[in-house]
Amino acid sequence: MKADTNDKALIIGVQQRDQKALYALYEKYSGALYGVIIRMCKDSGLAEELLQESFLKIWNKIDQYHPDKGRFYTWAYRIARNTTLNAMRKESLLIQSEDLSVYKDRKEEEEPWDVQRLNGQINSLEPHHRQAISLVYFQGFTHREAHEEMGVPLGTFKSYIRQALKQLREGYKITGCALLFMNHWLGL
Amino acid sequence: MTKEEAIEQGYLEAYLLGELDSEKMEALESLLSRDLGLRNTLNTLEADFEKMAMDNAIEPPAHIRENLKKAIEQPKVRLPYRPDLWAAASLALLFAITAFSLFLRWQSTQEELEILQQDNLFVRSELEEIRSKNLEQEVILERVASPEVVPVFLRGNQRLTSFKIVAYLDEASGQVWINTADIPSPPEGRSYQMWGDVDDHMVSMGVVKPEGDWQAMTYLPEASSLNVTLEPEGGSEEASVDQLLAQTIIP
Repeated sequence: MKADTNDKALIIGVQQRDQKALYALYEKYSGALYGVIIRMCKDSGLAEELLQESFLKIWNKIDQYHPDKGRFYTWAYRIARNTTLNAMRKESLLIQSEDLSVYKDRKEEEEPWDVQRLNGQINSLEPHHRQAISLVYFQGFTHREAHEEMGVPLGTFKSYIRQALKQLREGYKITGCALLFMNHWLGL
Repeated sequence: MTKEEAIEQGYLEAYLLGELDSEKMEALESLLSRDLGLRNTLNTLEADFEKMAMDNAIEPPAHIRENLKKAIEQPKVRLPYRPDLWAAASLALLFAITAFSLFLRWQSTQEELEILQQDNLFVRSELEEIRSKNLEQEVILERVASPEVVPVFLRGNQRLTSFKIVAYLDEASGQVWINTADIPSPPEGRSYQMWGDVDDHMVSMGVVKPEGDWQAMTYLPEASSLNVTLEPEGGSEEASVDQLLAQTIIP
C-alpha cells in the first residue's frame, strides 16, 4: 500500500474541490474498495465502472461525510457497497429476460481467477468464521441473507461474526506488536 | 437501545455496513455520543475492518484513475468549433428568425383582413340599406309623379310660418305621401299631427316625423281638408284645434 496520508487534510481538500486531494484518497483506498466491489459483482468490467462511479459519488457527496461519525473508509465502503448492490439488482433484472446459461458462460470466460480468495489475517480464522465475514463484508450479504446462505440460525450467525471479529482483533494486536518489535529491533 | 443490545444484536456491525434503519441508527448514534466505551469499541471495529479491507485490496487497472480524472476535469459539454456546423446553426437561426417574423406579419395581416372583412360587411349592409331606401324613394317619386296623384300644398299660419309641406294624395294606393325634409323640428315634448276633416270631424292621418324622408300617411277619401296641429309628443286622439298650424282645402 501507499504511504499513509493525513485523511483529514485530504477530505478538507476534496470539500474545497481540490482534485489532487481526491486522487490521493483514490491512491489510498481504491484497491480496498475495488477488492470489495469485484468480490461482490464477480465481473471485472462492471467492477471497474462501479469503482469509478463510487469515486465520482465521493467527489460529489463529500459534504455528507462527517468525521465525528466514523472513518472515511467506512463511509466510502458504504457508497461502494450500495452502488454495487444497485447495479447488481439492475443486472439481475436484465438477466431474467436473457438466456441464463449464456450469461454464466460469459462470466466464467471473463473471470478465470478466484475473486473469493482472501488474504491477510482473515485466513487465520476458522472456515465458518471466515465464510461469515466474507459473506457480510466482501459479498454484500445482509445478516439475514448470510445466515440463510450458511444454513445456520440468525443468532448463531451473529455469534460467528462477533467471534470472528474478536479473533481478528487479537490477530491484528499480535501483528501490531510484532511489527513494533521488528521496527524497534531494526532501529526504524 | 442499550450497550449490551448494540453489541449482542450486532448493531455495531450493521451500523458499519450501513444496514441499520434510520430509527435504530439514531438510537445507536445517541448511545455512541453518551458511551465512550462503546464508541471505542466501534472505533476498534472500524480500524480492524479497514485493515481487513487493505489486506484484501486488489489493485485496479490504471485506466480507471484516468477515466475518473477525465470525468471530473471534463468541462461542460460545448459545441466544438466546426465551420460547417456553425454555418448550419447560423442558417437555422436565420431561418427561425425569418419564419418567426413572417409568422408575426401573417398574424398581423390576418387580423387586418378580419377587420377589413367586418368593415366590408358593414359597408355592404349600409349599401344594401341605401339601395333599398333609394329604390323605395324611386318608387315613391315615380308614384307621386303619376298624374293620378294630387299634390296639396300646406303652409304654416302665423304660429309657424316656416312650416311648409306638400302632401301627395294617392287614391289608387290609399296613401298620402309627404316629404318631411324641409319642416322645422317640433318643440321639445311636442309632435306634429296630420288630420283630415271628414264631415266636420277631425280624423287622424298620423303623426308627422320630421326625419327628412318620405312618409306615408293614412288616406281619407272623404276628407274635405288637410290640417296639421301641434300635439303632445306621440300624438292625440282628438285634434287640438287651438294649436292648428296649417290648413288646406282639398280641391
